Amino acid sequence: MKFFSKLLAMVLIVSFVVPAYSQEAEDAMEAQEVQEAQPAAQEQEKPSGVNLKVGDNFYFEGNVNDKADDDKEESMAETQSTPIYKQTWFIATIAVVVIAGAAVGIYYGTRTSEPNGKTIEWDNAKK
Amino acid sequence: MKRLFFLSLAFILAFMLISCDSGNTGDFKITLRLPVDLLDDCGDEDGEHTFCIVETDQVMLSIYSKSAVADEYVYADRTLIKVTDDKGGKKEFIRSLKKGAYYRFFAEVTNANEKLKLTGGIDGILYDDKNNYEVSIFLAPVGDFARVVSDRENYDDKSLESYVSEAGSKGAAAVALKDGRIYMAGGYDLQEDKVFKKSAVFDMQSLSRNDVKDLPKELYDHIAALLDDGSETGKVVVGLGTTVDEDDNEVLNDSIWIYDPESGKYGNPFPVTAMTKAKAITIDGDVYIVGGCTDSGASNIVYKFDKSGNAAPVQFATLQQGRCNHAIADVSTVNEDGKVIPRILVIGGSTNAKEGKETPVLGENFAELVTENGSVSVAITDRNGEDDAELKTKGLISPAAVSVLMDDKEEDETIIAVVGGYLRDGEEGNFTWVSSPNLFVFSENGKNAFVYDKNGTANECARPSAGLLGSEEKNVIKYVAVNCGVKEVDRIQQNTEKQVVFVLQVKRVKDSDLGIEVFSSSVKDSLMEGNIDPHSDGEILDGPVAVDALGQVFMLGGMYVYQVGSYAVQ
Repeated sequence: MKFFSKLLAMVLIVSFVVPAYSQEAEDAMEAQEVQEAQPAAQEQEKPSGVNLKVGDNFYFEGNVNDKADDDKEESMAETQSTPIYKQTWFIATIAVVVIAGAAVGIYYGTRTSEPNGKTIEWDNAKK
Repeated sequence: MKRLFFLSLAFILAFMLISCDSGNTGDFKITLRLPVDLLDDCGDEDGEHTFCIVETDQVMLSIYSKSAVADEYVYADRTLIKVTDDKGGKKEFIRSLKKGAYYRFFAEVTNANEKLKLTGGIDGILYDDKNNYEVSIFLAPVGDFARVVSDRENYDDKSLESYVSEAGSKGAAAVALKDGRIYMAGGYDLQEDKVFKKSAVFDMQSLSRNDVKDLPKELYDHIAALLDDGSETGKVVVGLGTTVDEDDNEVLNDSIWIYDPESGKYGNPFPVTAMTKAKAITIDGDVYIVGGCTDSGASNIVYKFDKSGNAAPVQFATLQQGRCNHAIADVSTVNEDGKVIPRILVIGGSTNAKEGKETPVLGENFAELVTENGSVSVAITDRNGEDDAELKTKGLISPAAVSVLMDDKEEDETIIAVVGGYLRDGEEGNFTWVSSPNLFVFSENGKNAFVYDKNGTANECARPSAGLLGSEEKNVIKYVAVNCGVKEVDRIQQNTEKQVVFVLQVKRVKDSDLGIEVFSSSVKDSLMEGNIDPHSDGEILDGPVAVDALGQVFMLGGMYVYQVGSYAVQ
């Protein structure tokens, strides 16, 4: 009974963690593909002034040189819209926490029975 | 975001499943119960700490298991625990026990000098991982005795009490069941001055007494022996003895019953000749009932209850001399096919049961050897070919005899330790009864011949009971625990005394005068002054012993149950 419960727990954890990790990898790959595809497009669209910036996040930026100085800041704010839960670092952190949590849970879950499992004790204080 | 939410939910659910499922069943907790600290030195740094487990000690827990009731226990595991705290300790002793297996546990406590000081064990635990177990092991001083207590601090309330009052009893019977519990029945109640009808089972795992169904009749001086029918507990053959009629007069009992500990019931009676003070012994699972005194004399019949079922007893052999109040010992052999060949040595006794007016068995019939081919008288002599102890002329009534396997040499030898009893002192027509001042060791000395070695003792017991204490294999010394009863031969209430328990050391020694090896028997020093429990006012005339499969001997017949600590698993 105990074994099957643990097995079920493992399956549950793996079934959620693995797809999440796969999605994360998929998202990353998609982003990379976009990144790889962009230079060519950038080269073709160079005359229109599209520029790719690489920072903490990928984002597209219009030809800022064509814009007025007051519009430059607004334009950048509009293009930086990737939600935090889709960020690679965030998903990776959550995945690590969940896996570590599951491991700790399983370890302590199985271990809790042992100190009380098969024990011998005595109380010498009683004279 | 949704995915993250469900992921967290699944994780919490999984953790709860694991947490809830673990640790709920399959637990096995052993609590070591310590004896009362009679030396009061548990808290003293310079004390010997005989009755405690202190920092310099080690606890060894040995585990034995078997997969079926009929199997022999085999060694399974062993855990050595180094004690790190004077107050107490707790340790995980094994990761798993096998479901459906039977377990035996034996705990040994050794001090800093590796001297064994406390031992105790339990037996016959059928493990199921769907249950939790909480069992006690009472630790008794090795080669010494202690009152069984579940809480030594409150020993007045937490002692294992029998159904006998402080005034004590005589003529009770007891036997250890296969699962380690102790069955006790009957006896004469010296408080109420009447015969007990009670029977009880002592559970040594919970250190408690369960009063079970009363005997079919009031009984004392009856027989009780284990019939190993292959069940977990075995059954008890109980009966004969002295009972009371409708007018409250003492009469002899003509019935034998089989008590089933599992159902708690006594079976239909097997009618035989009414007799008392017979002796019963278990050999290879069968029960043999030897002799007994009738209204007109003494029975010479040896009955056998076969272990194969509830069949009526059959006559196994006929004694050369009918007798009661004798001693019997198992001197069986094993043939080449591993089959046990039953042999019973019968010693002394009397030809009538009338106390104070007994006629001791004397002469060439003093001892007999019962086999499948009948019973023959055996020659009994001392080492010089004589009878220095005058056994054949004075007799020996109501001694206790215990078979001891000496395995210290290449070839095993079964010897018989004989203790106590009483005999005639003086000439015919002008004699008194005195308790025997001798300890004997009988050993086989040719066909139908036994030789005895004799040692004196100050510990005289008129009607003792005795059992073999577990000792290490190949050890040159073996031990016999004795429930002495009183020295006085008159079995009257005025002669009751505090319950005396002692241990005999039986060993092979070189006799310098004769230039040969002989056997000696001596009383081992006890931690208890006068071999009595200083905290008990309970008295006794005589009482039975019960020896469990681990070699622990339990002393009964008084107010409390006492345990003698064995040196090793039997």
